[in-house]
Amino acid sequence: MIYFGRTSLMKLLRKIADERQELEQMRIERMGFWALLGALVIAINVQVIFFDVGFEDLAGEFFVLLAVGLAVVIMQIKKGIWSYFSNPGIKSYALYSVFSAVIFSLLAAGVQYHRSVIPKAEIMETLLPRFSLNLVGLFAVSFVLLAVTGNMTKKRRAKLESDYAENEY
Amino acid sequence: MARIECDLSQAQLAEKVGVTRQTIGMIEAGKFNPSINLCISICKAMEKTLDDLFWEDEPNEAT
Repeated sequence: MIYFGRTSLMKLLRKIADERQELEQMRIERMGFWALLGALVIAINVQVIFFDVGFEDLAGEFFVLLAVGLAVVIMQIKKGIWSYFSNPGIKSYALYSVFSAVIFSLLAAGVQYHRSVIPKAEIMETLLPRFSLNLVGLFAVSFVLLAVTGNMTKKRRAKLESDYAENEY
Repeated sequence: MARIECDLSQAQLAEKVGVTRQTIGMIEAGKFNPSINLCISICKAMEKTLDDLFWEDEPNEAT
């Protein structure tokens, strides 16, 4: 056993918070999680848009973002959780896909506009088709991903329901 | 108040059920909803039922 003076590591790591403190702690941690995630996304966007930073320079940030996102999605599926505001279904997939496609297409358009060497007056001719293509592509990818994870969530919910169903006589 | 009837201070009750004194204070003030497990622990510590401690009659029911 590892000791720090007279205190063992086990004793140091023993949870002493009661359920109220744990709940408050979880609320604070949740706020911290979203703040960190938001700050990371903003930092990536600012670097890409304003400092002409390439993908290879941001690989670490992208990896962290993807790993955290993936871990959250897996944990949510495992617990049969979808979102605060909707249940998995076509409407939900479509709404979230449109939302993410519009945001990321606008961001991509912003980057292209900022980095473009074409005169600003002519840029719309190339930007609009790209924007439309990004919009459709991102919508399709998001929709498929949401449909896959949504179906997994539905299956998990059905499994949880059957595992904890009351005995019928 | 049931706790005072049992001659227990907030600190004594908190120690009996394994929570902090602040938590007992916040439960009494209605600022924190305890889990059913904590409610049962409090009931056992005070030798009361859940109804005695946590059931509130509606004004028109209390006749």
